[in-house]
Amino acid sequence: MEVDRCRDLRPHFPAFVTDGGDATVQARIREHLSLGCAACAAEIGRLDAAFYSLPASLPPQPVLEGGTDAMVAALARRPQEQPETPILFPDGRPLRVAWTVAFLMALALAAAAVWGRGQQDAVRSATLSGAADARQVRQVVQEYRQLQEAHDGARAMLEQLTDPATQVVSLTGAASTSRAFVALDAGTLLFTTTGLPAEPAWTLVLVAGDDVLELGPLEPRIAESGGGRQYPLPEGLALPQELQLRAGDGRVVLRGTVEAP
Amino acid sequence: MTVPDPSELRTLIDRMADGDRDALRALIEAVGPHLHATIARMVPEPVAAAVLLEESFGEIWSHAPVYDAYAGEPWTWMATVARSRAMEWRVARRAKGKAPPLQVEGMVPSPGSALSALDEADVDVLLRVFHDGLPGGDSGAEDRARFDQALLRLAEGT
Repeated sequence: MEVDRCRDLRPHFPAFVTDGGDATVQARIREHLSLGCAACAAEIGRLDAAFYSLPASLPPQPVLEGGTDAMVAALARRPQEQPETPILFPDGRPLRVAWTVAFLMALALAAAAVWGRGQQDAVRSATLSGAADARQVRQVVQEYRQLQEAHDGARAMLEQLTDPATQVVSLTGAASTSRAFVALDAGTLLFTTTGLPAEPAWTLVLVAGDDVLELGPLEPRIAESGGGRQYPLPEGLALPQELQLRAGDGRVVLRGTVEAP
Repeated sequence: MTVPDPSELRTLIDRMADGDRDALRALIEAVGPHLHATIARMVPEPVAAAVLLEESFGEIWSHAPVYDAYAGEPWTWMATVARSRAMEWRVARRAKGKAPPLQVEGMVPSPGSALSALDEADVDVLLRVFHDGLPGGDSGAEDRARFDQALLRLAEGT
Protein backbone atom coordinates (compact mmCIF):
# COMPACT_ATOMS: atom_id res chain seq x y z
CA MET A 1 0.00 0.00 0.00
CA GLU A 2 1.26 3.46 -0.87
CA VAL A 3 1.81 5.62 2.20
CA ASP A 4 1.20 9.37 1.99
CA ARG A 5 4.01 11.67 3.00
CA CYS A 6 3.39 14.66 5.25
CA ARG A 7 4.41 17.16 2.59
CA ASP A 8 1.91 15.69 0.12
CA LEU A 9 -0.97 16.08 2.54
CA ARG A 10 -0.09 19.37 4.24
CA PRO A 11 -1.56 21.62 1.49
CA HIS A 12 -4.93 19.95 2.10
CA PHE A 13 -5.05 20.59 5.86
CA PRO A 14 -6.99 23.90 5.66
CA ALA A 15 -9.81 22.21 3.72
CA PHE A 16 -9.66 19.23 6.08
CA VAL A 17 -10.41 21.31 9.18
CA THR A 18 -13.52 22.78 7.50
CA ASP A 19 -14.85 19.23 7.07
CA GLY A 20 -14.99 20.01 3.37
CA GLY A 21 -12.90 19.38 0.29
CA ASP A 22 -12.30 16.11 -1.52
CA ALA A 23 -13.58 13.07 0.38
CA THR A 24 -10.72 10.87 -0.84
CA VAL A 25 -8.12 13.35 0.40
CA GLN A 26 -9.93 13.57 3.74
CA ALA A 27 -9.77 9.78 4.05
CA ARG A 28 -6.05 9.83 3.22
CA ILE A 29 -5.43 12.43 5.92
CA ARG A 30 -7.38 10.39 8.49
CA GLU A 31 -5.40 7.30 7.54
CA HIS A 32 -2.14 9.27 7.86
CA LEU A 33 -3.15 10.55 11.31
CA SER A 34 -4.17 7.07 12.42
CA LEU A 35 -0.58 5.96 11.76
CA GLY A 36 0.46 8.35 14.52
CA CYS A 37 2.07 11.31 12.74
CA ALA A 38 2.43 13.72 15.64
CA ALA A 39 3.69 16.63 13.50
CA CYS A 40 0.65 16.57 11.21
CA ALA A 41 -1.72 16.07 14.15
CA ALA A 42 -0.23 19.16 15.81
CA GLU A 43 -0.51 21.21 12.61
CA ILE A 44 -4.14 20.19 12.12
CA GLY A 45 -4.84 20.98 15.78
CA ARG A 46 -3.38 24.46 15.28
CA LEU A 47 -5.49 25.13 12.17
CA ASP A 48 -8.57 23.65 13.80
CA ALA A 49 -8.22 25.92 16.84
CA ALA A 50 -7.76 28.97 14.58
CA PHE A 51 -10.75 28.08 12.39
CA TYR A 52 -13.10 27.48 15.31
CA SER A 53 -11.92 30.63 17.08
CA LEU A 54 -13.71 32.62 14.35
CA PRO A 55 -17.14 32.79 16.03
CA ALA A 56 -15.52 33.97 19.26
CA SER A 57 -14.20 37.01 17.35
CA LEU A 58 -17.68 38.08 16.23
CA PRO A 59 -20.51 39.78 18.15
CA PRO A 60 -22.52 37.43 20.41
CA GLN A 61 -26.31 37.13 20.38
CA PRO A 62 -28.12 36.63 23.69
CA VAL A 63 -29.98 33.38 24.27
CA LEU A 64 -33.76 33.99 24.14
CA GLU A 65 -35.19 35.41 27.37
CA GLY A 66 -36.04 32.57 29.72
CA GLY A 67 -34.37 30.23 27.25
CA THR A 68 -31.57 29.18 29.57
CA ASP A 69 -33.95 27.90 32.28
CA ALA A 70 -36.08 26.06 29.74
CA MET A 71 -33.00 24.55 28.12
CA VAL A 72 -31.53 23.37 31.42
CA ALA A 73 -34.88 21.84 32.42
CA ALA A 74 -35.20 20.03 29.10
CA LEU A 75 -31.60 18.92 28.62
CA ALA A 76 -30.78 17.79 32.16
CA ARG A 77 -33.33 14.98 31.74
CA ARG A 78 -31.50 13.57 28.72
CA PRO A 79 -29.35 10.50 29.24
CA GLN A 80 -25.60 10.96 29.10
CA GLU A 81 -23.23 8.73 27.19
CA GLN A 82 -21.01 6.77 29.54
CA PRO A 83 -17.36 5.85 28.91
CA GLU A 84 -16.70 2.33 27.65
CA THR A 85 -16.35 -0.34 30.30
CA PRO A 86 -12.84 -1.49 31.18
CA ILE A 87 -13.80 -4.98 29.95
CA LEU A 88 -13.71 -3.72 26.38
CA PHE A 89 -10.48 -1.78 26.86
CA PRO A 90 -8.49 -3.47 29.62
CA ASP A 91 -5.60 -1.46 31.01
CA GLY A 92 -3.17 -4.34 30.61
CA ARG A 93 -2.24 -4.81 34.24
CA PRO A 94 -2.11 -8.61 34.65
CA LEU A 95 -3.40 -8.67 38.23
CA ARG A 96 -6.38 -6.49 37.40
CA VAL A 97 -7.15 -8.57 34.32
CA ALA A 98 -6.97 -11.75 36.40
CA TRP A 99 -9.39 -10.32 38.93
CA THR A 100 -11.70 -9.21 36.11
CA VAL A 101 -11.66 -12.67 34.55
CA ALA A 102 -12.27 -14.27 37.94
CA PHE A 103 -15.14 -11.89 38.59
CA LEU A 104 -16.68 -12.60 35.18
CA MET A 105 -16.40 -16.34 35.72
CA ALA A 106 -18.06 -16.01 39.13
CA LEU A 107 -20.76 -13.83 37.57
CA ALA A 108 -21.35 -16.37 34.80
CA LEU A 109 -21.61 -19.20 37.36
CA ALA A 110 -24.06 -17.20 39.46
CA ALA A 111 -26.11 -16.37 36.36
CA ALA A 112 -26.15 -20.02 35.31
CA ALA A 113 -27.38 -21.02 38.75
CA VAL A 114 -30.17 -18.44 38.79
CA TRP A 115 -31.40 -18.84 35.23
CA GLY A 116 -33.11 -22.13 35.93
CA ARG A 117 -33.31 -25.45 34.19
CA GLY A 118 -34.36 -24.19 30.78
CA GLN A 119 -31.14 -22.23 30.45
CA GLN A 120 -28.77 -24.75 32.01
CA ASP A 121 -28.11 -26.82 28.88
CA ALA A 122 -27.26 -23.74 26.86
CA VAL A 123 -25.00 -22.40 29.58
CA ARG A 124 -23.16 -25.70 29.88
CA SER A 125 -22.55 -25.85 26.14
CA ALA A 126 -20.77 -22.53 26.16
CA THR A 127 -17.43 -21.98 27.77
CA LEU A 128 -17.47 -19.54 30.63
CA SER A 129 -15.35 -16.98 28.82
CA GLY A 130 -17.46 -17.40 25.68
CA ALA A 131 -20.62 -16.66 27.63
CA ALA A 132 -19.08 -13.57 29.17
CA ASP A 133 -18.02 -12.34 25.74
CA ALA A 134 -21.48 -12.97 24.31
CA ARG A 135 -23.13 -11.04 27.12
CA GLN A 136 -20.75 -8.19 26.57
CA VAL A 137 -21.56 -8.10 22.85
CA ARG A 138 -25.31 -8.28 23.51
CA GLN A 139 -25.06 -5.42 25.97
CA VAL A 140 -23.10 -3.24 23.58
CA VAL A 141 -25.45 -4.04 20.69
CA GLN A 142 -28.45 -3.23 22.87
CA GLU A 143 -26.91 0.10 23.90
CA TYR A 144 -26.12 0.83 20.26
CA ARG A 145 -29.72 0.14 19.26
CA GLN A 146 -31.05 2.40 22.00
CA LEU A 147 -28.73 5.19 20.91
CA GLN A 148 -29.77 4.74 17.28
CA GLU A 149 -33.44 4.79 18.23
CA ALA A 150 -33.07 7.94 20.30
CA HIS A 151 -31.00 9.58 17.58
CA ASP A 152 -33.53 8.82 14.83
CA GLY A 153 -36.39 10.09 16.99
CA ALA A 154 -34.54 13.30 17.75
CA ARG A 155 -33.66 13.78 14.08
CA ALA A 156 -37.26 13.34 12.98
CA MET A 157 -38.46 15.82 15.58
CA LEU A 158 -35.71 18.30 14.68
CA GLU A 159 -36.65 18.06 10.98
CA GLN A 160 -40.23 18.87 11.86
CA LEU A 161 -39.41 21.72 14.24
CA THR A 162 -37.09 23.42 11.80
CA ASP A 163 -39.28 23.02 8.72
CA PRO A 164 -40.44 26.46 7.53
CA ALA A 165 -43.89 24.93 6.85
CA THR A 166 -44.29 24.18 10.56
CA GLN A 167 -46.55 26.74 12.24
CA VAL A 168 -45.48 27.88 15.71
CA VAL A 169 -48.39 28.74 18.01
CA SER A 170 -47.64 30.53 21.28
CA LEU A 171 -50.22 29.82 23.96
CA THR A 172 -51.08 32.48 26.53
CA GLY A 173 -53.11 32.59 29.73
CA ALA A 174 -50.86 31.22 32.49
CA ALA A 175 -47.38 32.01 33.70
CA SER A 176 -45.72 29.41 31.53
CA THR A 177 -43.84 29.12 28.26
CA SER A 178 -45.99 26.91 26.06
CA ARG A 179 -45.88 26.41 22.33
CA ALA A 180 -47.40 24.16 19.74
CA PHE A 181 -45.54 23.20 16.57
CA VAL A 182 -48.18 22.35 14.00
CA ALA A 183 -47.01 20.36 10.97
CA LEU A 184 -50.09 19.95 8.79
CA ASP A 185 -48.19 18.05 6.10
CA ALA A 186 -47.02 15.47 8.62
CA GLY A 187 -50.38 15.54 10.45
CA THR A 188 -48.84 16.16 13.86
CA LEU A 189 -48.94 18.75 16.61
CA LEU A 190 -46.06 18.90 19.07
CA PHE A 191 -46.97 20.67 22.33
CA THR A 192 -44.12 21.88 24.56
CA THR A 193 -44.40 23.60 27.91
CA THR A 194 -42.56 24.65 31.06
CA GLY A 195 -43.85 25.91 34.37
CA LEU A 196 -47.55 25.05 34.40
CA PRO A 197 -49.29 24.93 37.81
CA ALA A 198 -50.00 21.56 39.43
CA GLU A 199 -53.31 20.04 38.28
CA PRO A 200 -54.52 16.44 38.48
CA ALA A 201 -55.35 16.31 34.76
CA TRP A 202 -54.87 18.29 31.54
CA THR A 203 -56.43 17.97 28.09
CA LEU A 204 -55.45 19.59 24.79
CA VAL A 205 -58.37 20.46 22.51
CA LEU A 206 -59.04 22.26 19.24
CA VAL A 207 -62.14 24.45 19.14
CA ALA A 208 -63.92 25.88 16.09
CA GLY A 209 -67.28 27.45 16.94
CA ASP A 210 -69.26 24.81 18.83
CA ASP A 211 -67.07 21.94 17.62
CA VAL A 212 -64.56 20.65 20.13
CA LEU A 213 -61.94 18.15 19.02
CA GLU A 214 -60.09 16.47 21.87
CA LEU A 215 -56.47 15.83 20.86
CA GLY A 216 -55.57 13.95 24.02
CA PRO A 217 -54.40 14.23 27.61
CA LEU A 218 -51.19 15.92 28.77
CA GLU A 219 -49.51 14.07 31.61
CA PRO A 220 -49.31 16.19 34.81
CA ARG A 221 -45.61 15.35 35.20
CA ILE A 222 -44.88 16.94 31.79
CA ALA A 223 -46.98 19.98 32.70
CA GLU A 224 -45.20 20.49 36.02
CA SER A 225 -41.60 19.69 35.20
CA GLY A 226 -41.60 20.77 31.55
CA GLY A 227 -41.41 18.78 28.36
CA GLY A 228 -43.47 17.98 25.32
CA ARG A 229 -45.84 15.52 23.70
CA GLN A 230 -46.87 14.86 20.13
CA TYR A 231 -50.50 14.49 19.04
CA PRO A 232 -51.84 13.24 15.68
CA LEU A 233 -54.03 15.65 13.73
CA PRO A 234 -56.99 14.46 11.66
CA GLU A 235 -56.76 14.76 7.89
CA GLY A 236 -58.51 17.71 6.28
CA LEU A 237 -58.61 19.74 9.50
CA ALA A 238 -60.48 23.00 8.82
CA LEU A 239 -58.54 26.05 10.00
CA PRO A 240 -58.37 28.40 11.83
CA GLN A 241 -59.02 26.68 15.15
CA GLU A 242 -58.41 27.74 18.71
CA LEU A 243 -55.97 25.49 20.54
CA GLN A 244 -56.83 25.22 24.24
CA LEU A 245 -55.20 23.52 27.19
CA ARG A 246 -57.90 22.68 29.70
CA ALA A 247 -57.58 21.69 33.34
CA GLY A 248 -59.42 18.62 34.64
CA ASP A 249 -62.47 20.70 35.64
CA GLY A 250 -62.79 22.13 32.11
CA ARG A 251 -61.20 25.54 32.78
CA VAL A 252 -59.29 26.92 29.79
CA VAL A 253 -55.81 27.67 31.15
CA LEU A 254 -53.98 28.37 27.89
CA ARG A 255 -55.14 29.32 24.43
CA GLY A 256 -53.70 30.17 21.04
CA THR A 257 -54.78 30.14 17.41
CA VAL A 258 -53.76 27.67 14.73
CA GLU A 259 -54.04 29.76 11.58
CA ALA A 260 -54.88 28.60 8.08
CA PRO A 261 -51.71 28.12 5.98
CA MET B 1 -14.13 38.70 22.88
CA THR B 2 -11.63 35.89 22.73
CA VAL B 3 -12.05 32.16 23.11
CA PRO B 4 -13.50 31.41 26.58
CA ASP B 5 -10.97 30.26 29.17
CA PRO B 6 -10.31 26.55 28.40
CA SER B 7 -9.67 25.52 32.00
CA GLU B 8 -12.94 27.11 33.11
CA LEU B 9 -14.83 25.32 30.33
CA ARG B 10 -13.11 22.04 31.14
CA THR B 11 -14.17 22.36 34.79
CA LEU B 12 -17.77 22.94 33.75
CA ILE B 13 -17.69 19.93 31.41
CA ASP B 14 -16.24 17.76 34.20
CA ARG B 15 -19.08 18.83 36.48
CA MET B 16 -21.64 18.19 33.74
CA ALA B 17 -20.22 14.70 33.37
CA ASP B 18 -21.42 14.13 36.94
CA GLY B 19 -24.91 15.34 35.98
CA ASP B 20 -24.49 18.83 37.49
CA ARG B 21 -27.34 21.02 36.14
CA ASP B 22 -25.80 24.21 37.55
CA ALA B 23 -22.70 23.53 35.46
CA LEU B 24 -24.89 23.17 32.37
CA ARG B 25 -26.54 26.49 33.17
CA ALA B 26 -23.14 28.16 33.69
CA LEU B 27 -21.89 26.74 30.40
CA ILE B 28 -24.95 28.02 28.52
CA GLU B 29 -24.42 31.45 30.07
CA ALA B 30 -20.71 31.40 29.17
CA VAL B 31 -20.80 30.22 25.57
CA GLY B 32 -24.52 30.26 24.65
CA PRO B 33 -24.52 33.79 23.19
CA HIS B 34 -21.58 32.97 20.92
CA LEU B 35 -22.99 29.64 19.77
CA HIS B 36 -26.40 31.27 19.28
CA ALA B 37 -24.84 34.02 17.17
CA THR B 38 -22.93 31.41 15.13
CA ILE B 39 -26.08 29.43 14.40
CA ALA B 40 -28.18 32.56 13.75
CA ARG B 41 -25.72 33.74 11.09
CA MET B 42 -26.17 30.41 9.29
CA VAL B 43 -29.86 29.82 10.05
CA PRO B 44 -31.95 32.94 9.43
CA GLU B 45 -35.13 31.46 10.96
CA PRO B 46 -35.17 32.33 14.69
CA VAL B 47 -37.20 29.29 15.76
CA ALA B 48 -34.93 26.92 13.89
CA ALA B 49 -31.86 28.70 15.30
CA ALA B 50 -33.18 28.37 18.87
CA VAL B 51 -33.95 24.67 18.37
CA LEU B 52 -30.53 24.01 16.85
CA LEU B 53 -28.88 25.83 19.76
CA GLU B 54 -30.75 23.61 22.20
CA GLU B 55 -29.82 20.51 20.19
CA SER B 56 -26.17 21.60 20.25
CA PHE B 57 -26.21 21.92 24.03
CA GLY B 58 -28.07 18.60 24.17
CA GLU B 59 -25.19 16.94 22.34
CA ILE B 60 -22.65 18.67 24.59
CA TRP B 61 -24.56 17.55 27.71
CA SER B 62 -24.92 13.97 26.45
CA HIS B 63 -21.25 13.65 25.52
CA ALA B 64 -19.79 15.47 28.54
CA PRO B 65 -18.85 12.20 30.33
CA VAL B 66 -16.82 11.03 27.31
CA TYR B 67 -15.42 14.46 26.41
CA ASP B 68 -11.84 13.36 27.09
CA ALA B 69 -12.16 10.87 24.26
CA TYR B 70 -12.39 13.76 21.80
CA ALA B 71 -9.35 15.63 20.62
CA GLY B 72 -9.32 19.40 20.82
CA GLU B 73 -10.00 22.20 23.26
CA PRO B 74 -13.47 22.53 24.81
CA TRP B 75 -14.38 25.64 22.83
CA THR B 76 -13.28 24.04 19.54
CA TRP B 77 -15.42 21.01 20.32
CA MET B 78 -18.49 23.09 21.19
CA ALA B 79 -18.13 25.38 18.17
CA THR B 80 -17.75 22.29 15.96
CA VAL B 81 -20.98 20.84 17.35
CA ALA B 82 -22.94 24.06 16.76
CA ARG B 83 -21.49 24.63 13.28
CA SER B 84 -22.18 21.03 12.24
CA ARG B 85 -25.81 21.25 13.36
CA ALA B 86 -26.36 24.50 11.49
CA MET B 87 -24.48 23.23 8.44
CA GLU B 88 -26.68 20.11 8.30
CA TRP B 89 -29.71 22.41 8.36
CA ARG B 90 -28.32 24.51 5.50
CA VAL B 91 -27.51 21.43 3.42
CA ALA B 92 -31.04 20.08 3.98
CA ARG B 93 -32.55 23.41 2.95
CA ARG B 94 -30.37 23.56 -0.15
CA ALA B 95 -31.43 20.02 -1.07
CA LYS B 96 -35.02 21.27 -1.04
CA GLY B 97 -34.04 24.08 -3.41
CA LYS B 98 -34.31 26.78 -0.75
CA ALA B 99 -30.80 28.22 -0.33
CA PRO B 100 -30.85 30.17 2.94
CA PRO B 101 -29.07 33.56 2.99
CA LEU B 102 -25.99 34.09 5.17
CA GLN B 103 -25.97 36.81 7.82
CA VAL B 104 -22.27 37.68 7.62
CA GLU B 105 -22.27 40.79 5.43
CA GLY B 106 -20.53 43.72 7.09
CA MET B 107 -19.58 41.64 10.12
CA VAL B 108 -16.76 43.39 11.99
CA PRO B 109 -14.38 41.27 14.11
CA SER B 110 -13.91 42.26 17.74
CA PRO B 111 -10.99 44.65 18.17
CA GLY B 112 -7.86 42.90 19.40
CA SER B 113 -8.89 39.49 18.09
CA ALA B 114 -6.58 37.62 15.69
CA LEU B 115 -9.25 37.98 13.02
CA SER B 116 -9.19 41.77 13.26
CA ALA B 117 -5.51 41.77 12.27
CA LEU B 118 -6.30 40.30 8.83
CA ASP B 119 -7.30 42.30 5.77
CA GLU B 120 -10.93 42.58 4.68
CA ALA B 121 -10.68 40.01 1.88
CA ASP B 122 -9.17 37.41 4.22
CA VAL B 123 -11.88 38.05 6.82
CA ASP B 124 -14.57 37.80 4.16
CA VAL B 125 -13.42 34.45 2.78
CA LEU B 126 -12.86 32.98 6.26
CA LEU B 127 -16.34 33.97 7.39
CA ARG B 128 -18.01 32.67 4.24
CA VAL B 129 -16.25 29.31 4.45
CA PHE B 130 -16.92 28.98 8.18
CA HIS B 131 -20.63 29.70 7.80
CA ASP B 132 -21.33 28.14 4.41
CA GLY B 133 -18.58 25.58 3.78
CA LEU B 134 -15.94 25.46 1.06
CA PRO B 135 -17.12 26.58 -2.38
CA GLY B 136 -17.03 23.76 -4.89
CA GLY B 137 -16.28 23.45 -8.59
CA ASP B 138 -13.91 25.39 -10.83
CA SER B 139 -15.57 28.70 -9.95
CA GLY B 140 -14.66 28.20 -6.29
CA ALA B 141 -10.98 27.41 -6.89
CA GLU B 142 -9.84 31.00 -6.35
CA ASP B 143 -11.79 31.31 -3.11
CA ARG B 144 -10.46 27.97 -1.87
CA ALA B 145 -6.88 29.07 -2.51
CA ARG B 146 -7.54 32.39 -0.80
CA PHE B 147 -9.10 30.56 2.16
CA ASP B 148 -6.06 28.28 2.58
CA GLN B 149 -3.74 31.28 2.81
CA ALA B 150 -6.09 33.26 5.07
CA LEU B 151 -6.42 30.37 7.52
CA LEU B 152 -2.65 29.94 7.70
CA ARG B 153 -2.29 33.67 8.40
CA LEU B 154 -4.98 33.49 11.07
CA ALA B 155 -3.30 30.49 12.72
CA GLU B 156 0.01 32.35 12.80
CA GLY B 157 -1.63 35.25 14.64
CA THR B 158 -3.68 33.14 17.08
